[in-house]
Amino acid sequence: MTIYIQKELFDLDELTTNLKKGDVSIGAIVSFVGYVREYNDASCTNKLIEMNLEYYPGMTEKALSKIESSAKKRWALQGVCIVHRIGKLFPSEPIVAVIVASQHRKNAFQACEYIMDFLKTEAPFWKKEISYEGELWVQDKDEDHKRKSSWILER
Amino acid sequence: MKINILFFASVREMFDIHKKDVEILDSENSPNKLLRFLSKKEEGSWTLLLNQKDSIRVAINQELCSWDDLLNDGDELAFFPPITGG
Repeated sequence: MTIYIQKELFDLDELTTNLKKGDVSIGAIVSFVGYVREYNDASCTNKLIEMNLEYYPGMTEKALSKIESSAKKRWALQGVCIVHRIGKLFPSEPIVAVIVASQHRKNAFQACEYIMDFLKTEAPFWKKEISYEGELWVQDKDEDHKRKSSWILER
Repeated sequence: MKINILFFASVREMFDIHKKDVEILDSENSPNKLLRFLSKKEEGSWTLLLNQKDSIRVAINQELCSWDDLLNDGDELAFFPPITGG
């Protein structure tokens, strides 16, 4: 289990190489990277200057490791790596990466999406956007809650 | 009993502090009862929080919980807005 919560940028290639290292049974690695958008409104009028990411030390790590364990119970996975950044982030910088290794691609694709859908609603992180119009805490989205629920209903 | 309260994101800004230890009666043994008790006693940010209760999440000892879950002496209780990571 590899979980990093950090201020620094991450290197996706290095994380992927580390996850793959020595395991000849891995036949598929799927990774997702989320980035800071320059505009978060549909009309693209409110340009972002920076984003501040806050977390709950202790609980966030526990929540992520719980999500990872539940993905491993659902699919046969060879390894999972989750990295989430905190602190001050600028437009186009990466925020989060989820890398999943399995023997065959289907498990890795599905587990990667599952981990992201749960991370969005259960791992305590909060985004504050600072734009030319002021500061605003990002609101949660119904769509994210629906995506998470769909995994529970599917079972 | 003593409860260690933590505030995050917009709730932290509402209180202008990150943490506060409070001494409450043993009968105020849920996040719901604790908040109502402190709102009545101290008003201010506690009342603001109570008014927004429906959009606030709670965690006891770093696990998401409901407003009516049981609190015990020495517990860590956190108030925060809905999660927006990723």
